This record gives sequence, structure tokens and C-alpha cells, in this order.
Amino acid sequence: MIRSSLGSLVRKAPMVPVLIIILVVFSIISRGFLSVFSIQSILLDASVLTVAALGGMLVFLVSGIDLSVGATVAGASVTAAIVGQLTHNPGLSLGSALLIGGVIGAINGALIGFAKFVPFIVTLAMLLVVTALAYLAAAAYSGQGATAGSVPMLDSILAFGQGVTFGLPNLFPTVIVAVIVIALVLYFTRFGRQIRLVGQNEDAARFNGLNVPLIKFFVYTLAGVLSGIAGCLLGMRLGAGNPAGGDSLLLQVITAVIIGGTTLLGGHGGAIRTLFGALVIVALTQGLSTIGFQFWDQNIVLGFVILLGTQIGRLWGTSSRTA
Amino acid sequence: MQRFSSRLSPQIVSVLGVIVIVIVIFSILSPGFLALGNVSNLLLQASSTAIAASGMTLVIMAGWIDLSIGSLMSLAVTIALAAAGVTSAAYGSSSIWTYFIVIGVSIAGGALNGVLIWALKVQPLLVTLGTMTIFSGIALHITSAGNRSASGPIQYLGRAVVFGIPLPVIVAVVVVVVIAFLLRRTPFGRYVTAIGGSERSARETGLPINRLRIVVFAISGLCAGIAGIITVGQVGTMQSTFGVGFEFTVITAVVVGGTSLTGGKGSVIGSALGAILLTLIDNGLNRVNASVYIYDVITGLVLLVAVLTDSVVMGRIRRMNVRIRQAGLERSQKTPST
Amino acid sequence: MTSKIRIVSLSLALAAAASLGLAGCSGSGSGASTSGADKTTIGISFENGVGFREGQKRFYQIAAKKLNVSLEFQVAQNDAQRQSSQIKTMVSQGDQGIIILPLDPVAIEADIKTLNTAKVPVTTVDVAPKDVNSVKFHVGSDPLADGKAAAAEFVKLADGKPFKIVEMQGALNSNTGVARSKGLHDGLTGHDNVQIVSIVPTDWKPEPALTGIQNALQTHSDLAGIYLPTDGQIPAAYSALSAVNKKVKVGEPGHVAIVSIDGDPNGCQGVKDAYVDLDLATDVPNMTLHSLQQTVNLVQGKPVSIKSPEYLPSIAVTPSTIAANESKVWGCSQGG
Repeated sequence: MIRSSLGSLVRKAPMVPVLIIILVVFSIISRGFLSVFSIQSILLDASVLTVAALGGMLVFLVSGIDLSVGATVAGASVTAAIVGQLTHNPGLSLGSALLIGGVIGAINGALIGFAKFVPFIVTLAMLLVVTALAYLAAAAYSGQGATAGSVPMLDSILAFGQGVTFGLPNLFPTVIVAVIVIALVLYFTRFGRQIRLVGQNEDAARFNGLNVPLIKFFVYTLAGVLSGIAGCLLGMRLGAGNPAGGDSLLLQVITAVIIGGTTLLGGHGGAIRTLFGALVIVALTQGLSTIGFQFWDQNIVLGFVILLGTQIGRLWGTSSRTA
Repeated sequence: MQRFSSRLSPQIVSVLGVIVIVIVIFSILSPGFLALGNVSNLLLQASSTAIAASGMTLVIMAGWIDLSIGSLMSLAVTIALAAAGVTSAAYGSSSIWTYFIVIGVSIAGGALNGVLIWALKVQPLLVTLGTMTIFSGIALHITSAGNRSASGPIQYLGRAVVFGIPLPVIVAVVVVVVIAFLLRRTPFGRYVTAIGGSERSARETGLPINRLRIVVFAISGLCAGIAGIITVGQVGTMQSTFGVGFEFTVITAVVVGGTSLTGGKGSVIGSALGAILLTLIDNGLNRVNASVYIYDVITGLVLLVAVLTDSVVMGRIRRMNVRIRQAGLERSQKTPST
Repeated sequence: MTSKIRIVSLSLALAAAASLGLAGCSGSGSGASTSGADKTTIGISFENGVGFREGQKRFYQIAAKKLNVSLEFQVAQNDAQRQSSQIKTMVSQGDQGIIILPLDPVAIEADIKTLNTAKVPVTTVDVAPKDVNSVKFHVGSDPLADGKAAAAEFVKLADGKPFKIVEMQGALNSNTGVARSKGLHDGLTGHDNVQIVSIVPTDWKPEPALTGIQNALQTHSDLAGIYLPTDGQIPAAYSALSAVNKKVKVGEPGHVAIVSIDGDPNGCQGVKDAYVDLDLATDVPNMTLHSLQQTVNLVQGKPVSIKSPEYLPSIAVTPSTIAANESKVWGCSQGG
């Protein structure tokens, strides 16, 4: 997938030059933007977003949408925190988060793939239920009537999550691994090819004998597991599992996936592109922060980024007009 | 041959069924649930959702979706209050022009959605996601996330009572009836339904989809604006959280009311009933002092049940229709034509 | 077709640039810090979701002028991750001291540790970190005491007779919301004549307050009191009361008692108009001043002069005492 000509680089991964432009511009107009602290922040912030966005991208690839991604990430982080506090076992703590993420994803996948419900509604319902359960769990753990706030993560996990190796935050290599794995799966395995086929033309895929419901089921489950991983990363990053931790994540995930170049039509997308989409968003919001933009002004910019970003997916010329 | 129309009866029946069940449950748990005063409150509390749901039904019937209504509502009211000179939480008053500005901005914002979808040529889901972010960003920019007093004439619509009936309820009934009429009995409504059925076919038959889309989204915006006036007039203050999440409540009401997200099938009356159902649940949970966490769980479950019921009921109807058609076919094959 | 895309993209980009310019004009005023050599720069990691914060920000700016300090606000909007990043950004921008309004009391510990390692003085304001002693200075209000004071007021008004009240609750994932509620319940134990007939979770929003009070008034025609955790819900209370003709002033027959917390313009006006029986005004002016003062002390290497943590009592004002105490209530100074 690596082509040598520059023009096709822009087509294939338009976010790379955009990221470079953002970095250059903000380093000029804002002091300290390229400092070690600042770069580490960008990488850290992008970690959770990238992994969650990988799940979002997979779901987009099968023409679906996952509104529950933020809630799943938050729920997973709360689970990891509570299990960690109860068992003092890092393995169980992280594993439980992945399990919860997988279960939520599986429920989504079953309802969307097998029962053929509309993804918007199923994931919306799941968002409500998972958020409420996350709050309940946090409140129950902190004792009745106490703040349904965050639950601390296990110290050993915390130490890893906050640490820095060779100047890079410990969490970031995990993200790189996830991106590479997903990219390999998408382009070099049969499952990956099937996913892309289903996304491009579901009827044709079905005629070709692909078990579309099963593929969708696996995609949503995998997206759920990725959200679980993102939840672990979030918990490690913050040192706590917070049921409200996913509130702003949904919008960021969809934006990252879109500007990364994955369209809602399905069939075209990529893990590496999504990574750069996430980096662009994080760098942009951080840069805007440093020059004094309040969060609402950042949102205005983000909205324009979403609108412009939709055009990037169209560069692939996949679609005739859609509603 | 009696064919179960896939347009009206079964969805309305199933929503009504759920409403009856909920009423029974809450009447047992909380006596006085059906008192006249509570029913009046219920209808009042459901009005703004019902109005916005009517507009949203039109959008969803065409196979589109509008995520920006909450933010648009907030932006319209913000601009209108700012224009009236209200700059703080406790002082300043609106004027009669405030109404016009809210309506104007709402229609303009909705139309903008339509234009952008046309120009950008991508799904309404993504475009309205973008405009939702921009609208709310601009609104917060104007107020710096502060509160604004909503006093003076803007309160009239939300608080007036006519012949013992709260004015918002009357407005809601009017809006529902008008949009239901638009949808069922005018060419415009038929075009919208046709687009929802299949946009490609609709385009091939020459329907001016782009223009229709602008009108539909403008109507959706208008409904959101009216809903906003009613809500903010009733509450008397506008907080920075105004309208946040409203679109999801409205879409839930529409789906629960039996309208299909894929388009072509639905009912405005169903959406209004969906709004009432959601308000019923909220009101009931309020009265039994339910834990705050339960609210969202129940709403989520109701949503799933509604979709499940709809798919089960529609599946049955489809099978029944198929059987009826088959029976008709066999009969015509057996009897020789004269 | 492609030319249309280009036109649209271009116009969107232009619009984006225009709005950037617009936003930048008003945005940079409050955010970008001046690198004046002799002025201490303090970074405030803030949150801007509710109107109350507007008041706090204003008073920080007043305090900054008094102490001749320049401020940089970074707003994280409910996102603990972003707060963590912004704190690091402020350090890399050269802010000499950091004041944090923690969004997540547990997660903020990690950032405090980072700042301590980097030897940057850090204090917290309003919301305490889980371990309040991890910072050298914390100042905030005392929401538990506020709730108890409200309870005491209801008990006094009830005067031994049966007294039904409805409680609006603030967000239950914030210590302030939980404590204000708990204070009320604690203060009412032992006074069974005062009964909380309905508890409504409102997440600080006025719309659920409206429906909650509407429902309560409908179910209990003898409702005697309303407890609001924030002044922002006062207009909603007025609306619900007016609808059933029960918006009556203090002292007049049929008055439904309103007790609220915050001290914002609505609260100030409500007490002046004698519709609100008691408003517990958070001492924002002193909170912000002490917060800034102690942070500057730390930056200058001086010790903290006030014992930490400092919980400032709210200023209780009633219709009869508002005139004398108006200058202390922060909301009263915010004219229209």
C-alpha cells in the first residue's frame, strides 16, 4: 500500500501533510507547542482516541455506526478500575475491560448483524444503558450515596500508564501495535477482505456467498474489544476509571474516522489513515488551546473540519450521490 | 382483499399498547398518575418534543436524519436573546421580535443543512453532525457559556393557557395535524415518502430532490425553533446546556412511534405518541422517585423494545401480505379467465 | 462536478478562516498570556460548562488585577484527559504557578504529582482532589454546610408543623452536588415534620427542575418548600409556581419557601424581590482572591499564609438581610 509518488500520497493519506502543516503553523504562533511535554500530551491524548477510532473505522467499513463507543470506553475503564481494586491483579483488571468491551460489541453485533436492527438505534440504546450501568457501578463501588465519580486504577498499572520510555509515553507503542495489527488484518487476511467487500456492496457480497450477518457480528465485537482496550488506556492515562470519561469521545472518534478518509459508505478506509486523523484532531485542538481558543471556538473549527473532512472520503470517488 | 396497510395501523396500535401498559404500571405504583392535573402536565411537558418530532418525522421519512436540531434551537434562541439585549442571567427582557428572530434563524439553519448536503454530497448524518458542532459552538461563543434570562414576551407561548388548555399543547396539536396532512395528503408529502422509499428511483422520475431536501430540513429547523421557544419560555432561563442531547430524545420518540430510520414508512401521529410515551416514563419515574441511573436505562430499553416490536410486527405483516398475494395468485391461476 | 467541490471547499475554508478570525479576536483576550518579564503568570486549568464559572472567572480577573498578576485560562470542558494535557501545556508555556479546578478528583492526583516533580507550584480551587493534602493549598466552598443551613431554614420555617418540601439535586457525579444533597438530608434528620416528598435529579439543568417542581406541585397541593441546589433553577421554580398561582412573596399567605445556593444574579434578585427565602451565596470573591494569592506566594517561594484546606462559609442572605450584605454577594455586582 505504499506508493512512491507524492500525489498519490496525498490521495492515500491526506492527513499526513495536514498534520505537518498544523505542527509547523502552531509551533510558529505559539511558544512551547513543540516542547517535549506538549508532544507527549498530543501522543497520549491521541492514544485513546486512535484505538477507539480503529473500532469506529471498522464499523464504518461495514456501513454501520457505533454511537456507543464513548460509553463503552468509559464503562471499560470503570470495570478495569473496580476489578483492579477488588482483585489487585493487573491481568484481571485489564482483561475484564476487554471482556466488557467485547460483550457490548457482541450485543451490538448480534442485534445489528443477525436481528438486522438499524445500527443508529441499537448503538444509541446501548449508549444509554452502558453509561447508566457505568455510573451505577462506580456509585456502588464508592459506597451508596457517595459520588458516582471515578474509581482509582491499580497502582502498578498506573505506574506503567504514566511512565515514559525513551521519551515516548509508554502507552503510545501499544497504539502503534494496534494500528499495525488492524492494518494487517484488513489488507492481508481473508476476514479483512470480506469486511471490505461487505462494505463496498453488501448485496454482491451476499451473492458471493459471504455470511454477511456473521461478518458484521465479528466486526462489532472486534470494535467492542478495541473500545475495551481504549478504556484500559484511558484508565492508565488518568489513573482512574471515570463513567463520564467517554462523553466527548464519540464526536472525536467520528471526526477522526472521517477526516482519516473512511467514508460512511463503507469499503474504503485504513488503520494508518485513522491514526493520522486522530493525530490531526488532537494536535489541532491542542494548538488552538495554546493560542487561547475556548472550547466552543475549538468546536466551531472542529465542525468545519468535519464538513471539509467528508470531502476527503469523496476523493476516492467511490460514490455516486447519496442521501 | 384486505391488505394490512403498512403505513398506519399496526405501528400506532403497538405504540398505544405500550402507552397503556406504562400507564397501568405507573398508576399502580403512584396513585394520582391519571389525575387531570397530571395529565395536563404530561401533555404540556410532551409538547416541545412532539413538535420537534413532527419535523424530524418528515426528515426521517425521506431516509435522512437531522442531528443538529438541539444546537440549532440553542443558537436561534441565543441570537434572539442577544439581539434583544439580554446579556445576563437575571436582567434584560425579550421583545416580540424575539419570536421572529428565533423562527428566522431556525428556518435559515435548517435550510443551510439542506444546502450543505446538496453541495457536499455526503450523508445527512455527517453533515448535520458538522453543523451541530458549529451551531453549538457559535451559541456558546455568544454567551461564553453563561446563563441568559428569558423573560418578557418570549414567555407567552410557553406559559399561556387558553380555555383551560395550555397553549403549547394546542400548538403541538396544530403542528402535528398540519405536518401529518402535509405528509399524507399533499404531493409534497408523497414525494418525501417516495424519496424515502428509494432515492435513486425518485431521482430518475425527475423529482427535484435537492430543493425538496432544503424545504424538509427547513421545516425540521422551524419545528425545532418553535419547540425551543416553548421550552425556554416555560423555564424562564437559558443555560449553556440548552438543547444538548435533544436530537436524540426526538429521534427516539420518532423511532418509538414506528417510523423507520431507513425511510418511506412512518407516521407523524406515531411520533407524537412516541413523545408522549417518553414523557410518560419520565413523569412516572419522577413520581416514584426512581434512582437517577434508571431513567436512561429504561429509555434505552424502551427504544430497543420499540424497534424489536416494530420489526416483529412488520415481519408478521410482510409474511401475511405475501401469503395474501400468493393466495390471490393461486386463485387467479386456478380459475380460467373469462 | 469537481469544480463545484472546489468552490464549496473554498467557501467553507473561507468561512472557517472568517470564524477563526472572529473567534480569535475574542478568544485571545482571555487565553493567550503575555510574557511580561516582571509579571508573574499563573495558569488556571478551568472548566466553563455552567454559568457559575463565569462569575468565578470574572473574579479571578479582578483578583489578578489587584495582585498585578497575569492569568492564562485553559478550559477543559468535562474532559479529564484534556485537562491533563492542558496542564502540561501550561507548564511548557512557562506558567509559573498552576491553579486547578479538578474535573476528576482521582485522576488529578497524577497531574499534581507531575507538577510536583517539575517543581511547579500547584493549588486547587472549588473541587478538592481526592487527597486534599496532596496540594499545599485548596480553597472551596462547603457544600455540606450549605445543605445543612438550608435544612435549618426549612426547620425554622416549619416551626414544628408538617412541612413538605421537594428537593432538586445537582449532578451526582460531582462532590458539590452530592454534598449539597447529603447536607440537606443530614440536617433534616430528627425533624420528621419536614418531609422531602420528591427528589429530582437535575444535573444542574433548569428544564428537569421545571418538570420536577411542576409534578411535585401537582401531586402535593400543600407543598410548602422547594430546595434548589443552584440559583440557575430559580426562574424554573418561579415558572412552576406561577402556573398554579403560587408565586407569592415571603411573609404573604400561600408563600412557598424557596431555598437556594450559589449567590448568582438570579439569587441576588430573588432575595431582593422577596420570593427567595434564603440564598447561600458562595464566597466567590474571597475564594478567587485567596486562591490566587496563595499560588503567588508559592511561586515567590513564600509559605502559604492560610491553613489548607480552606472551606469558605457561604454568605446567607434573606430578604431582610440582603440590603446590608449586598456587597458580599457576588451575583449582586453583575448588573444587566
